[in-house]
Amino acid sequence: MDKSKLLYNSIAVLILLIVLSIYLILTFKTPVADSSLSFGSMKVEPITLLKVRLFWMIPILFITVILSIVFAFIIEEWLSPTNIIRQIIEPYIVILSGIPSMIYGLLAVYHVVFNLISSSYTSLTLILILLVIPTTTLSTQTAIRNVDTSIRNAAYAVGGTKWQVIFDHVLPLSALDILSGVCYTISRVLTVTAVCILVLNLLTSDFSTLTVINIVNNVGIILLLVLIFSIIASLIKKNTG
Amino acid sequence: MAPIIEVQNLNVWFGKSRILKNLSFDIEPKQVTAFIGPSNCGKTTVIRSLNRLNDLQADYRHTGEILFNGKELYSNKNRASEIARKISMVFEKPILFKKSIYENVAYSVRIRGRRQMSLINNIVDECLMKVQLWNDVKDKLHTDPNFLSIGQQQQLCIARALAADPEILIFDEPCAQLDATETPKFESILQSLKQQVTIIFVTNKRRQAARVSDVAGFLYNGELVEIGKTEQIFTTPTDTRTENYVTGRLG
Repeated sequence: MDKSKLLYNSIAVLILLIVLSIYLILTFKTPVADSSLSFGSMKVEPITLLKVRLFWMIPILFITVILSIVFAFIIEEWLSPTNIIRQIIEPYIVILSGIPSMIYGLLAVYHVVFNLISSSYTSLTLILILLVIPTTTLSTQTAIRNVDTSIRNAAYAVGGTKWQVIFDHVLPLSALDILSGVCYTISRVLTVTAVCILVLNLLTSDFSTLTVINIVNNVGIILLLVLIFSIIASLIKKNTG
Repeated sequence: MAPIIEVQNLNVWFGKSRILKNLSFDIEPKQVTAFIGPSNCGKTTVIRSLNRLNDLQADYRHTGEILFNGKELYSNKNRASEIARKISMVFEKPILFKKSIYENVAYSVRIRGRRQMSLINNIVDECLMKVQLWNDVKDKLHTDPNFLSIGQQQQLCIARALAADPEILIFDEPCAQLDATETPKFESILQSLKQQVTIIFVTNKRRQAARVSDVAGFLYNGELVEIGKTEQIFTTPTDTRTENYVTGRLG
């Protein structure tokens, strides 16, 4: 049991490393043509650009959060811990959710600087998916696991079907913990946004005092939001515990 | 009368460890059958195999045949949830849903798809009366059940199991949490329920099994050492291990 877990974990690390190095090699082969940073055909300020992207991100965020909650329920309720698919999938979730959001932010910056040009929406969506799905899935899984098994047993013992048990008991009892996980994920996404805004704007700024203050203000507002979401997450979690 | 449950050569494994070894027994309808034995001898596994709650365990597998009303219990035609309803179960600790007293009992009716309020009201009242809880809670049906004592909570659990309209009611060490004053009440409930449903219960209190049951089976290390009329088991056991256990020299 432990041996197979170790095996799947190391396979996961290896594959993630390979994917990352392939990605780096591919992007290094296509450096930016001219030295001045032009964000594609759109010559707009990065802040405006990110605001536009933010409106794109909200529906994507919503969809990915819902998807990962469903995903977590499928893993926890339908795949047993010894199931081979679950054993293969779980290391990726754990590893990816363990990476600090700062790294994702730098990845996003790297992506934007080197090849935002052609398909920025797709690349931002991909980074968002990479960021949201593992964290939300992991926190939802923990929330589901925290539901007392005796409650499940009691519901099964009076003739509840799997769906009835999930909708009548597991979901209501884990709802707050799931929500707390979602808040935590949102704060992670906002951290990434803060990193993007800071770095991209500093790159394109003329470093006059006014622009720097402006940038720092923008980042400050986002970091405040991060703080608020983290506090909400911890408050909700405490109440259920 | 034909037995309601027939078990032939039941073996149960959890992963690689074999919990039950070649169990064969019949359970007669409208009787109280007790399984006694020291802890860790597989009592709970036996009863959880009967209502398919063991299906929830990932590494569970079994061989042998279990017939319920003459039909294979583990066939694909039977849905596990339907079996769990017909062979309902009450656990060691009173497990209540985070709902009102009324809703706790009504839940068993609702999940069967019956939604008429009058019908649900009738069943709830009737079940609470059967478990002798009606007089204690009739004014407080819509309040939280946490104010009830442990014994009353256990009665509520029995009411909830009864509301599922079971043919067999299984109790897993139902008195482990109850004190001396609550146990006689529980036993009288058991006696009154005997007329309507078949009762299987598991206990490690020998005297209680002797008082309440009609048939008793002694389990030891995953084997069914002996099963027979309670009087016979407790007075003239054929196996020395049974004798040692009922006289208190073992376990």
